[in-house]
Amino acid sequence: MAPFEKAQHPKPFKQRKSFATRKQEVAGIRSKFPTKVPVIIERYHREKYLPPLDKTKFLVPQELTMTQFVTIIRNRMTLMPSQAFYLLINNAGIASMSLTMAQVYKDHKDEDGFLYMTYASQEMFGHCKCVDQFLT
Amino acid sequence: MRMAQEREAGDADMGTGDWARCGAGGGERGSRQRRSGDTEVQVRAVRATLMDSLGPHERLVAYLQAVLLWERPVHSVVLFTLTNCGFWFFALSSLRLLFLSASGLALVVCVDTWRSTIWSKIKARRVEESENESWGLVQPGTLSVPELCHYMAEVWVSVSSCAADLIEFKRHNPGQFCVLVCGVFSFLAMVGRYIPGVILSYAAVWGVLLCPLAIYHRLWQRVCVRLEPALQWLDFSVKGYMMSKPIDNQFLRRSIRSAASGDASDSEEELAAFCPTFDEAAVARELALTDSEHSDAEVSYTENGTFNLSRGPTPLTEGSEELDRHSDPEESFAQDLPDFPSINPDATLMDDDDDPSLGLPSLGSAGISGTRASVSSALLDLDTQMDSDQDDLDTDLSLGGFNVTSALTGDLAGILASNMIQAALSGAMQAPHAYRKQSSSELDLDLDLDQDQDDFELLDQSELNQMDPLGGSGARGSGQNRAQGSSFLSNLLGKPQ
Repeated sequence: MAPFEKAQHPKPFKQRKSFATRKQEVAGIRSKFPTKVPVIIERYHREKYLPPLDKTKFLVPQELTMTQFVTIIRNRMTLMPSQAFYLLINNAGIASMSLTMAQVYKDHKDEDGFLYMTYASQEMFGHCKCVDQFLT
Repeated sequence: MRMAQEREAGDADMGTGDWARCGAGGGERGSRQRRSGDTEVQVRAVRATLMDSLGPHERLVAYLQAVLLWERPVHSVVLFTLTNCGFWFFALSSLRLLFLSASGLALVVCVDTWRSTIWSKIKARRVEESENESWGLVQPGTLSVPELCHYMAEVWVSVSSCAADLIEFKRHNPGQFCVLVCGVFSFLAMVGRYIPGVILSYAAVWGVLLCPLAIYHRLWQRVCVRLEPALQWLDFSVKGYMMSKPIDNQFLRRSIRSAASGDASDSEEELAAFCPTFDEAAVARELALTDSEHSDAEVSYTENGTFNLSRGPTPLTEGSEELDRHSDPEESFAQDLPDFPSINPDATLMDDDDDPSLGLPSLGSAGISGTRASVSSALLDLDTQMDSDQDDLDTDLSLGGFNVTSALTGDLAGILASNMIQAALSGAMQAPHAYRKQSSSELDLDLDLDQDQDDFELLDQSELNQMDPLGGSGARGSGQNRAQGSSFLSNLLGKPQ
């Protein structure tokens, strides 16, 4: 598979929009779809093998498990079964795959109300600090 | 050149997803890789254009899928009625084809004009909505837009390569092409001659409406799964007929052949008659048949599904260490059972596994005492095994422990595996309703196999009775305790004794 060089968005979502805008957006979408969870999925900034997603913001049903969610995202990127795919929550770690999205959202949601996830082809042990530096 | 083109068409026809695997698979030839890489590039390009056009309408696409898949039944009913009404309007009205096409073109022009005139307004609204626009929908059952675009791009690329192939074919040998096309169209003309066009188009409309539903519920695979036993049965019956025929006709043929040939073929035939050839495929098919049929064994194991689950699905998969665990902890298991709240018997075994007395050096003495208990319990259970399948299985398990202790020096896993396979084969060869009898005969066989050990154990028990009556009663008591435990277990599982 040829590496995908072009980045979808050069800047992360949090830097593209202000805190107030994000919060307002979450409030609007939560009032419109109360049973769905707003999730931001971004590519890890040093990811070389996984293709970029066509969307950043996703509305996910609450009752979906993480396994189903990962499968849907994989299908959306038309990944082959041999390709590794990890979904990190808050750049911190991998959630349990049996949790539902509602539980994950309750535990890990950001201050603005979004649930931030990063996908990568490797687990990236011990990268948190550098990502935090990158983000701030 | 033509060969290459044909192979490309074959590649494209291979189906969805094959191009990617061809591109990823390393061991292929270079030209083929390059070609599949070209296909991949084409698919990606088409997919990008489709994504551009379909991307903003993801919600609409999801809604359409939901309606077509009957996830919103009211909307689906409305869609079906509207489609039928439209179809019958066009079919029964006296409007001509020319009128229909002309009015359709007029409609297209109107829509185009409308879009071009109100384009600026739409644009403005889009800029305004651009913040809210990029929500992606995640629906568990339906295809997302990228997947849809991917499949459409694949179909598009394969169809276009097929068309290119056809054009190439026409250019190189026009005669064959003419014959082919004439054949196809004359067949279609015959179909159209005998079946009215309205019925054909109505069937086509219904096919289009119901096709997503069939794909979504994997109707084809389900039908295949359903039909497979029937096909296997047909195949098997034919095969069995062919196999049984030479044996049936043996005497007939012998009378004919005896005049022609000598004794050699005769003896061969006799040998063939007395040693029936054992076809592995036939046995496997028969096993599959008995699995698919309604057999006693199936019922007895699935009546209490919890038991089946807790014990593990197949006896072959539980390893040797699981079996030799049964010898000693059985007593403690039976003793602890009345005040043990859990249903799962393996949990208690797991707990007993932590017992340091179960180490390998103490296994010999523990094994002997465990064997004595298990033999007495086996004899007890032999009486009660006709009553419940629960006890049936318990005897099997205790005999498994018995075998383990007798074959501690030998190859333990090999004996177990051969026993299991032998039991499975004999069960498959016998009639399925004779499961009870077969299991009891199997028990007898096992007992006969270990006859010397059995005698020794009984002697030992009588000696023990003579020497210490308390010990014998203790052993028997433990067996009864175990029987009580099993009955308690079956009571717990809701199984009538």
